[in-house]
Amino acid sequence: MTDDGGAPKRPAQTKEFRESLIREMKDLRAFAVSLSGSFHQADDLLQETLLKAWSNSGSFIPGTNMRAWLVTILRNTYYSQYRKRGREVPDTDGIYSSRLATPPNQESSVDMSDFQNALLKLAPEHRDVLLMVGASGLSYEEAAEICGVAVGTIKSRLNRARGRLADLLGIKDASDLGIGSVSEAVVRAHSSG
Amino acid sequence: MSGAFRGPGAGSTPAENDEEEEVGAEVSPLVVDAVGRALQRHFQAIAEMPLPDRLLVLLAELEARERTS
Repeated sequence: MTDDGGAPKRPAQTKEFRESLIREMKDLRAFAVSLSGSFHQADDLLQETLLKAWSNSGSFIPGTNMRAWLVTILRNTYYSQYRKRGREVPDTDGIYSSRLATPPNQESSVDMSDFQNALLKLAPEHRDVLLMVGASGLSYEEAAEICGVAVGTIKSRLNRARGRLADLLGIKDASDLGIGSVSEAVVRAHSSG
Repeated sequence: MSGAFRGPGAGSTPAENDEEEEVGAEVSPLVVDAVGRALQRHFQAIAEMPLPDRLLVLLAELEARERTS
């Protein structure tokens, strides 16, 4: 039996592979929503990522970080769609229509429009690094590997992403506000609107 | 770079060269912390939502296919 009988090569997954994949889905969805600004697009991305991960389980190296592997697949899928659409402004309408369709108890816990809008104003290569390191908990080295750049480039992108996000959200340096005011400014920036 | 995380479909992504990037002004640790907490709240709020049905259905289908193959 040969490997190329029309179907992609797909070794049987271990139980561990399947369980870790399922465990990562919710965080991966948060990554996809934050990256794309749209629940609808995020779920398309997640679906495609899941299918690719499932049929390419052989390319996952056991003992390495599955989250980093999944983020790699999702990010590549996102950017290939992004390029096809000719770098148009991301479809942010989706985030509002999805929110409208969300049950009230769920919607009340997340008012993401201000924060998400600020995220979408970042350059994509800054936004994704911020999400990888600042939210998904990947290391600088993992992010560098995924982006194909040096660790120093990751650090500078992260710094610029944080600085720009702080400006957009109106988060000021604590030197003239006092420590308490910084978190208040975040709360205001995050919950207003 | 060993390419350990190069998943399927790995390819070029925006600005994938080691171009010299301006570092920009150093962001103060308190601002880094405040931005980080706002980001995590945003991220967690989405991660706590239940997965949509279409993904649960897809997962179930993949599992079922696995059992019958």
